[in-house]
Amino acid sequence: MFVRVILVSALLVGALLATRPATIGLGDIIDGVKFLRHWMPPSSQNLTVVLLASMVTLSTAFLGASVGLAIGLPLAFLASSRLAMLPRPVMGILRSTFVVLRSIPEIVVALILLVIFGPGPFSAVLAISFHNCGVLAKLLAERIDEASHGTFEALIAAGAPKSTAATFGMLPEIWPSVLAQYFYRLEVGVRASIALGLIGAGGIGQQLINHFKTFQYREVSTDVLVIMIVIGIVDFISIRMQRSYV
Amino acid sequence: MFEERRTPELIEAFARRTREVVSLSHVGVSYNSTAGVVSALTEVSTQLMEGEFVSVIGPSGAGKSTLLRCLNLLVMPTTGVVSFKGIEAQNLRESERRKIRRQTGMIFQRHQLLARFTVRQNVLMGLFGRYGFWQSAFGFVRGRFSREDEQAVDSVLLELGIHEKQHVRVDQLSGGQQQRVAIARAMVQSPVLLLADEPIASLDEGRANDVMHKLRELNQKGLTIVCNLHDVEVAKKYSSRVIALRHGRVLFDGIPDALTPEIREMVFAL
Ligand SMILES: Nc1ncnc2c1ncn2[C@@H]1O[C@H](COP(=O)(O)OP(=O)(O)OP(=O)(O)O)[C@@H](O)[C@H]1O
Ligand SMILES: [Mg+2]
Repeated sequence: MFVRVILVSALLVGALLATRPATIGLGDIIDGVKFLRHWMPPSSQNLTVVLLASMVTLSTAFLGASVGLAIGLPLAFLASSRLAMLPRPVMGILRSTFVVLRSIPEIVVALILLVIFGPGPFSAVLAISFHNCGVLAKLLAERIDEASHGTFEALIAAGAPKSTAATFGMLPEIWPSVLAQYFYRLEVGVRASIALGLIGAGGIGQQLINHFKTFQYREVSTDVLVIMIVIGIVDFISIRMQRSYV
Repeated sequence: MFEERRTPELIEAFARRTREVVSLSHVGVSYNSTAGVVSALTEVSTQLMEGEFVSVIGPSGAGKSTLLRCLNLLVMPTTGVVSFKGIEAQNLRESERRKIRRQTGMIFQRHQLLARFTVRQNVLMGLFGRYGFWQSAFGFVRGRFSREDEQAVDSVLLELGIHEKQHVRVDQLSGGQQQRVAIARAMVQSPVLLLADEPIASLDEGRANDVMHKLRELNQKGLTIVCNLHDVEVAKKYSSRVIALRHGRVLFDGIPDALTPEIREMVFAL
């Protein structure tokens, strides 16, 4: 116990040292506050453009989560070890594919795709879909393994094919998790698509970086406000949708 | 020439075979678990005849559920032979086993229905063994199957006295009513055999009696029933034959009256 506490403390100190700021002093903080003054008040000049860009960002996240789910959910059923729909070795390969999909950062995938498809949100949609596919397949396969298998087995016992039994006996069991994960991925996707906008994948992220680089800080604060509102809306819809399923 | 082959023995064998629903011959089942190989059934031989009401009793872990799952080929025996209507099961392909499962209804301790769906929808799912995936999916989404199927559903709903509840969500019914829906889902398959795995274990006495009466009624109409029970009195009251298991072996197999207190002691001894 004592050894572990020491070990964790040492790790924390090490991590703090590794990420320490380059400079810090009272003067720097005052400079920072002065800098923020240039952001006020938010500009409303380009509001239409910014709102349109936020729609692109939302669409990117929405498509990324939906495509990810459309592919990830069936894969989750195939990868569930308790349902055993595939031979074991095939299942192993499938599961490692999920790991690969999840472990390559979205930004790397997007950078490659931007070369292929040119600038714009399409590359972001694909990159986020790939990632979500891996994440959702893994998480939902775990949910399937943990869920109650009673109805699934009852349908198998009635002679139903595995695909039917899985769809009607298992999907309803995990549906609340499916919804929760989907909306969580949507929320993460909004942030991811903003980050990908910074490297040229369109949407409000691209607006933000352009305004920043051209010192239009009042535009930047409008961008930030709109981003906050968009995430708030996604959150609201998410809570509403999940509550409606009881 | 044809006539010559019909020896009395053959005729008898044929008659026996047609009356036989499932037979187990020297069946052993073992599971591979993390704790090593667990043997759930050892050397079980028995024969189920049409119209029987067999109760399977025994302490927890005796192998009752495993025995039931052997009867509809959910579990394949590690050793020995299971024959369904004279067809040996171990060489069958999965699709052929499914055809056999289609003819056996099964109900469980907890009803294993879809709580958020209506009574009628749940009962319709009993017919999913007859169709491929897409047919079932489209039928379910459209809310209707063939005319015969709809009629089959109506008639089991009426038979089980839950027709007026057909559009009610299952989670709004009492435990006893839910078990009736589960029986209806099994009966809509028009099974030749009904397996019941502790169907009354989570019901109070009144509802338990209600469910057992329903099973007896179905049996009297000719349905063969195998029912796992932990209550020996209930088993004796309702069944025509009792099988007692302990540690995966058959300790008793006979009419209820032959189940003496001594045997009972042996089966349930700690
Ligand atoms: N899927 C499985 N994997 C591993 N072991 C199993 C499995 N199913 C059952 N067993 C074991 O096989 C033995 C018999 O189990 P079974 O469920 O058939 O008993 P049971 O008589 O139905 O018990 P209960 O009254 O508790 O339902 C038990 O020791 C159990 O632990
Ligand atoms: Mg059991």
